Amino acid sequence: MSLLLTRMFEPRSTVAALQETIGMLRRHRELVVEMTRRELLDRYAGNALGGIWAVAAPLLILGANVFALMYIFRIRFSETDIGGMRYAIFILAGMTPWLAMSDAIGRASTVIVNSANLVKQIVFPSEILPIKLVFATLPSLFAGIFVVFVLNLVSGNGSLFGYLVLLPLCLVYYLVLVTGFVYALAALGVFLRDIRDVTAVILSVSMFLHPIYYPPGAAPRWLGVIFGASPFSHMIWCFHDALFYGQITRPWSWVICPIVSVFLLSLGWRIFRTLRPTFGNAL
Amino acid sequence: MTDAIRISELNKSYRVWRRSRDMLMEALLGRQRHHEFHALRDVSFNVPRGSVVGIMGQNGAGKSTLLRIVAGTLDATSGSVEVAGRISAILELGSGFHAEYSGRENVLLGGMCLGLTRAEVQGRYDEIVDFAELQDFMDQPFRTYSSGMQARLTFAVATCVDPDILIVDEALGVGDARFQLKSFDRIRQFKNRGKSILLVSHSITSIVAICDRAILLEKGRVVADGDPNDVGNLYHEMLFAPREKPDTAASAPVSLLPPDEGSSVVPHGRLEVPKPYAEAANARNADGAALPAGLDALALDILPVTERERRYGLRGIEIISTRIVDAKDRVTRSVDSLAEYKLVCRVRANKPMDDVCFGFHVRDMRGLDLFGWDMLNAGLPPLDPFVAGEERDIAIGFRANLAANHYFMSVTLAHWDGTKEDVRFDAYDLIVKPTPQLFHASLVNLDIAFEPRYVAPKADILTIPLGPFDHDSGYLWKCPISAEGVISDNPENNARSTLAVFEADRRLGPAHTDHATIRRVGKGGYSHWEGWMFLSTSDGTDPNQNGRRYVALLVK
Repeated sequence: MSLLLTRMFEPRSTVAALQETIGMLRRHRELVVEMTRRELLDRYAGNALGGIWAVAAPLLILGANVFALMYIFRIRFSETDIGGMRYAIFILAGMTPWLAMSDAIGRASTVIVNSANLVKQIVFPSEILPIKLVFATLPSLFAGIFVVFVLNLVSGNGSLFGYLVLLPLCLVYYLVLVTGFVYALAALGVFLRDIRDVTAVILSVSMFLHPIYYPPGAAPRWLGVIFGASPFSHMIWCFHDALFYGQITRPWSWVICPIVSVFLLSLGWRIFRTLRPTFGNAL
Repeated sequence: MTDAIRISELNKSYRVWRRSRDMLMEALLGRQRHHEFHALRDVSFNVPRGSVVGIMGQNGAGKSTLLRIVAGTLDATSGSVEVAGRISAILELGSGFHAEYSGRENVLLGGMCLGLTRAEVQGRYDEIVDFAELQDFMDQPFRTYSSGMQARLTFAVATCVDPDILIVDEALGVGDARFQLKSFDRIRQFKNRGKSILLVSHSITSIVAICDRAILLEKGRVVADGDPNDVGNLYHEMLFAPREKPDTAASAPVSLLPPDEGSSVVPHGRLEVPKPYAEAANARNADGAALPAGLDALALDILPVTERERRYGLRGIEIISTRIVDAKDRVTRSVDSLAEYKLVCRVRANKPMDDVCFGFHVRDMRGLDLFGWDMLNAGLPPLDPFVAGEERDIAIGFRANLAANHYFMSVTLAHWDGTKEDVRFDAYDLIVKPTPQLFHASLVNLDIAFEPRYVAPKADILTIPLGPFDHDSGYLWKCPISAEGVISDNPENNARSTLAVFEADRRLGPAHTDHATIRRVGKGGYSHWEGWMFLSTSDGTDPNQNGRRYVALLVK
């Protein structure tokens, strides 16, 4: 067990895993783009609006959430938050990456199984399949960010520093972190089909265990401990800093997030790489 | 020559859990809850560059597992597979293709999945569509294609990536005959360019037709590895040699035992091994191919009873055994196409019997009647009368004008009036060894004598200009003849009488041309005629005078 742990944390293999992932992305970039496009189009194939749904669906969900919180539960960010606009921006800034992330993670455990004919029958780089899920979340992520950007303009919130420096960093964290999770789940999901249902439950519960709905200081103390334990909380705080505050308010998150993301990516990749040769047995 | 694929000591065992819960429990608790299924055991062979290797074996023999491991979509339990070069594999019909996408999108995505860039796929798109002959269907969803069309597109895409190693699993069988030929051609081209092909097929004939070498798998082991003909024979025997039938005493006579001297009915199964079989089995073992116990038994199994035999009749006289013997009177199980054999039936009369005729007929596997013969139709008198208990061999010589396959022979004893004494329908499984020189769908062997004939430009007249004539002796004048041309149906060395000589429009009578000799020289696409034309003039005058020109017509 300790051997496993030391191997997991060994910096050299972590770097090697990162290099492999990046090399794989560069080698297959055309196929990644094509598969991502297909992934998005296939989800809405046959719909009258087609690919527009890839952007419209998450926006509607975001809108419904914001509406419910602002006008039904009437939560306000602070006394000065007239009409709840600041609270709306706050929710959107955190919920946008969360929804995108949960979309990718929710599909991760079945992505290999669903493409069994590719994985089993042809000499196919199966490491592309999880990647395409992550890239397929980008349209909805960008749509949400764009909405936040517009609302910020209207209400005079946000800062250039947030958009130009913090936001790109956030996106990199997002990609790295989610990719790591997706790789691990995709590989394990081949053998343990239950993972799909487990992730679905965990995702819907943990929406409340992450700093999405709660204005600062509004959450109970014990919840704060749980927040800090999840890498996604740190990612959400980073997004808050980039999109809502426009400055770094949680320096620890900006330190923890990259470290944990890189570690998780290399771990997920190594799990995937280890299990990949045995996929054929379980499909 | 280097090897494209090198497989050594390859083993594959699947872990089988009865329930997926067992797998989780095993992972968590470490207690073994699976049992292992060995799909491949110690498989070793090499595929040299530029060769086509066929893999045969019954369902579940491990063929597909082997191909998938070589292709890299499955891991091996132990052993090693070394592969040199880019692999393209067709492991299943429409593999890697999406049913809802159009043919065009599938070609693009399929090609990219196989490692081409988008531009490369687009560059080869026309070639792919041309090869698959699906120009009119490329914008329809893949699911609307017939299975043959799917196979064509799959094959076209998989081969367009120009792999160093092509792996084909049973995908060629689906297309129509024309496409199969086209695929075979493409495989040959591959081979000629030094690529290697690993092919799984159930069709022995296509393996024999295109493979340099064949490997026979049985229960995950390599049973034979060598010349496709030999391996095909072995596989054929394995497939169609009867399994041990449950022995019931009542049905014992149904066994078609090659009778030995003395007792002809052996009540239980196989007790005696006739010499040729024992020899054959020993010879095969001596070849070095390690035969598993089961196969040994197959080779020794001397009961060519087919599972499908149906038998009826009065049984006043019956056929107790049927066998085929070759020219040296050795019993044989598989026959060579075009060789002479005898069908020998041992007949036993259970009571005095007169007026009995024998007949047999041959059907192919699909039940198509190919040949029938009986004494009545042949105009032969019935068999000599039998006394009760008499046994007699009826031997019928025949020539195996059949192509590689297996056929069912039925043998019958009947009376003149058609009353059947013993009909043994599909009683004998006649195996004809592979005939690589024939088209693989052949049923019969027409014993082709290839001798092309050439048609003359003008079918029945060849004009040969003559002269000038030299004086020979007396009234005789001669000139050499040398001409090119073909005359249809002209008896080769007997052209003399058909040579007519003309001077202007006047035909010279036979009296003037009686010494003409001409013969055909040379073979092949032309005939070269050479000889001498002798002309006798009645008064000894020079036939060349006054500038006379002569012409000979070689007439059919």
